[in-house]
Amino acid sequence: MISIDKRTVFPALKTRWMGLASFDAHPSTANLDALLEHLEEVVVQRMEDRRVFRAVIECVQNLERHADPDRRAQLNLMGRSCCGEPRFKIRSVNAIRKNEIQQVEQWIRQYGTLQEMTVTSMKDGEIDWRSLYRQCLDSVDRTPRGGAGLGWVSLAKTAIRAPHIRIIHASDGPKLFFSVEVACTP
Amino acid sequence: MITFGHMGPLHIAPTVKTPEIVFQAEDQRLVLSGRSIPENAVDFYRPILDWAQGIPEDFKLTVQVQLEYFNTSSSKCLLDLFKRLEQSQSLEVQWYFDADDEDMLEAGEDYDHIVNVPFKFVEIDPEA
Repeated sequence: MISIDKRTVFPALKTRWMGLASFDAHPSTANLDALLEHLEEVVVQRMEDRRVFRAVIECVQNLERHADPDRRAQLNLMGRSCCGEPRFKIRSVNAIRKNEIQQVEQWIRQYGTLQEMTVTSMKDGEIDWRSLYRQCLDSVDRTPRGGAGLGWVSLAKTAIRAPHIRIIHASDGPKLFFSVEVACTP
Repeated sequence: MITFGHMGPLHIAPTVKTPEIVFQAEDQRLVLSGRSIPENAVDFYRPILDWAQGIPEDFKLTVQVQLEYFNTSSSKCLLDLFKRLEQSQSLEVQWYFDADDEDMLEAGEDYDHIVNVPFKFVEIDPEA
């Protein structure tokens, strides 16, 4: 269900992506809590860095909120060394409940709107993620379980680039793909 | 002891995913500590927001935020809490952060930027 690479995460990381932890199970609260506990061990206790674990928390909670609980979901934590610094990638794939596809599509459209907002928030040639985050935090929009895009901006603020999210039309039904790459706190 | 309507003193025990929340009227201090990563933050924070609604405007209150992690849905609820407390004339938020945790400092600065409440930033020395 959960497998962890017990080797030292850094400096043993290579320049290509290495799998550090993987999850392949039903996304029940108990399973995801166990996953979070294992991932905390990988990224906080061995890296002493909370930024990466904060990204992990959001990604695991994406599964908790949006995954079909009756079908298996996958999450992978990968690491590599980039110019001597550790980088991490978190990827998840989960089935979507049929009755929630429209809602998920709406979220993805909203992320598209957020991506458009990043263009207008350029400051000195760079996206002003912090202003965008404050704007989303103070927005009245929200869903019963979340912050209506705040998680995406929150991840983007500290990630190498904006998180990637899309629907995959697999043979066994639609799935949500999510990927984000984060570096440790500088 | 000052009581706030039907709420009075408040204590919510911590869990692995939710913070400890303590209020004792004699200390005039509301303390949130631990981690706040519940699946449904709105449900978790509802009683605290209801409680905050009953605080008299002239009551002196210090809110100490000593959170290690919070998810984005909790961050919206924290903003709701600060906004409800904005009406208090004598309120201070003390935002604790580890010296090596600049993301937590930034999170406090973001609230300070949005709400009309004085924030004091308290750096915790990890070696202490």
